[in-house]
Amino acid sequence: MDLHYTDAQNAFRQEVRTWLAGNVPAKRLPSFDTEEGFEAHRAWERKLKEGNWGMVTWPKEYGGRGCDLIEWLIFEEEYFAANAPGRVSQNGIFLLGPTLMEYGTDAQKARYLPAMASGDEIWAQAWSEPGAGSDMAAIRTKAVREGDTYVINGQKIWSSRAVFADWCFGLFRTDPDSARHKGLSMILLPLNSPGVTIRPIAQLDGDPGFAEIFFDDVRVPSENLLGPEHGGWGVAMATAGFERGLMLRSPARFQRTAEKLLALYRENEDTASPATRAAVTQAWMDAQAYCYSTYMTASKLMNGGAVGPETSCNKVFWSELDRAMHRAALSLSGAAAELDAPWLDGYMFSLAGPIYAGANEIQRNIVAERVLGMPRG
Amino acid sequence: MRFLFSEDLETLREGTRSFLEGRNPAERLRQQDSPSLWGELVEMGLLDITDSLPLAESVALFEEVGRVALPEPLADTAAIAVPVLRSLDAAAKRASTSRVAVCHPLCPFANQAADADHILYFDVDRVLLLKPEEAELATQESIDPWRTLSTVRPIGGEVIAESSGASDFAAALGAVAASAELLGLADRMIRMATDYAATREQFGKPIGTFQAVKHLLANAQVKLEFARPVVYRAGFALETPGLTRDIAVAHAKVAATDAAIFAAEQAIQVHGGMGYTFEADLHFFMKRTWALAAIWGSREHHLGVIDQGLFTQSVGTGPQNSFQHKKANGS
Ligand SMILES: Cc1cc2nc3c(=O)[nH]c(=O)nc-3n(C[C@H](O)[C@H](O)[C@H](O)COP(=O)(O)OP(=O)(O)OC[C@H]3O[C@@H](n4cnc5c(N)ncnc54)[C@H](O)[C@@H]3O)c2cc1C
Repeated sequence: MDLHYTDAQNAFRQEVRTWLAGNVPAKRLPSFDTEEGFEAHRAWERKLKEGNWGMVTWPKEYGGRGCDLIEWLIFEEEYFAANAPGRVSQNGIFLLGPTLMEYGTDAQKARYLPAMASGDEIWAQAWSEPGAGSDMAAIRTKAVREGDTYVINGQKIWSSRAVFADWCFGLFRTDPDSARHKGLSMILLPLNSPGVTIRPIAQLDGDPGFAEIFFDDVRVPSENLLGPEHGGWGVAMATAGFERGLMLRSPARFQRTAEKLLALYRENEDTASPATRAAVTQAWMDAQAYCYSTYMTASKLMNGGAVGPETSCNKVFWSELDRAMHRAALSLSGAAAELDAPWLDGYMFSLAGPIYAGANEIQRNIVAERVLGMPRG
Repeated sequence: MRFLFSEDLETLREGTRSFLEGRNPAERLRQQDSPSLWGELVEMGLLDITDSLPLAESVALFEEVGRVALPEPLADTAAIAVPVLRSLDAAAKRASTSRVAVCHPLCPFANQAADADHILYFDVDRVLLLKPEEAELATQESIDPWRTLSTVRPIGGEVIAESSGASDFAAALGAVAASAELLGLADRMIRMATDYAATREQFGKPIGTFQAVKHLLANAQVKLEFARPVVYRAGFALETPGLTRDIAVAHAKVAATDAAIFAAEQAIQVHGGMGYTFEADLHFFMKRTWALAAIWGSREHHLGVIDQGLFTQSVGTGPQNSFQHKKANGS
């Protein structure tokens, strides 16, 4: 146990800080759920790549810096402190990337990772279907093998930023006679493939952040299979592990929100109630707790340990913390809380946190059944 | 930066756990006349644990003490008196087998003081070391059947320090040890409820299959998962006085208290009517939880410390202040 940064870690922090100070755009970029905003964010990803900051934990050959997880946390801390733009490439770098590292062939890693780290190829996730949300094993979209090609038919929904993204990855039923978790495969495909139709769906804020993806005899080479054929469930669970576990939402994000909430409280101290002050204090404590927990997980992984179903606790904790922080901020904003502004935007998005990446009720089931060992019902 | 206990410590923790579970099963908590385990605790080296381990690591062992609701007041001697006396260069005043009770403004009722060899008595700005016969002890009744409490009025003894530093140090040590015990208690109560839910049947199936019951305990588990690192972080801060330590310790006590009280509330709910009896073991663990929640600074006390830090002293917040770092911070 040693909770001091090394000199090398401090130097790394300084390097990140300096680069960000010179490069983060002064003006907030438009939302990446709009066409203009998406391309502005892609340009930022390219900028990050110029500084070689695309995904610091990846090996150099794939566009990374070979950083360890503590350095990644430091990078994230500096990134959020600098108010740098949201990562439009998050599905790729945080979720598919680590999955590729684990299941991809060398050829697949070389093909996909560098373009992911540079923002040249931005990925959407294609898991959910109209009949398969929480119950992902109910996926029906078929990928039928014909020689060295899969022919895909069916429909995906709620795919974030698929309207603008270049590629998607997701689960498809490759064994037509299979049921539930068996017979699914993880497949990667370009969203401009013939037979793909993308229909935007406006999100809560009115922007086309979601899409439905329709597949009509879409032909995909079999080399786009990631991991074992019919063994996609295990591959998807690895992705989900990254999503809920370490990568998708780093603690810095919530520590930054807590810090802004504290500032908002101070601006409104004269009119604020003790109840809100208590909520602000709790938010700060919880954001710190999530940070300590993540450093612990990172240390465990660096020591050769593994993470298990307890990561489902993370998702529940950070999503409900985020919602509580934004709720407190709106409470502090008085009549202006109604106006379209960052805290309200943030509040709306915080309402999605308990739904996406596996709804919190499902996470609680996992905690009960797989962490505590309670009987399945 | 390494937020992880050493493998040696985890081995020691395992050993301590199986010793404590073996020698202090829940049935023992019903036997008020059960012979003291003090001698065995001494033999295990648990009294002098902070001589051989950094304070940060010793915290893990008090989690195990809490898990079994150990009747022997180990923390008073091992977690508080030994480090305080060492910090005052007064270690010699305490023979290695001696047992010390503690009385402090934040822990005003000394536990099992009459059975102790010494009482370590903290005023605001002085520390006394007394023999039990050098104090007037007035009995107070705790809800916890294993805590024999008394107020302490010194009528003799030796002044061993005249500053507030030792008192502050004791307060931090006491709060972190209590927090660690609360983590163990929370874990135990969640496990007890989980076990009960696996065997108790209603509507023809174990109540643990009902999702409402699952979620009660999942929520308790989530709270516990995010209290534990906070307590460990405070343990690491113990050696370094200052605002960082004060806030880390306050945060630990609040988080551990909230996790344990919440776990107790969910656990009794899962036990139904059986939970509201003296017959079920749960109450021993709930009562220890209430006791530890109250001493070494209540929730109110520690929230006050954090409030001060955040709103008056403007402690560093935000993602760049997760931990102290000398060079990069603020430069
Ligand atoms: C902002 C956002 C972004 C998203 N991005 C993507 C994306 O990029 N790609 C993608 O594939 N999907 C995406 N999703 C979809 C998301 O994964 C699903 O919404 C989620 O899995 C829930 O599925 P559902 O919407 O069908 O809800 P349902 O499964 O119908 O759930 C509705 C309610 O019922 C509860 N419920 C369901 N089953 C149970 C059960 N067994 N026990 C207890 N409660 C239950 C749920 O918890 C929830 O509260 C996104 C969603 C959001 C909100």
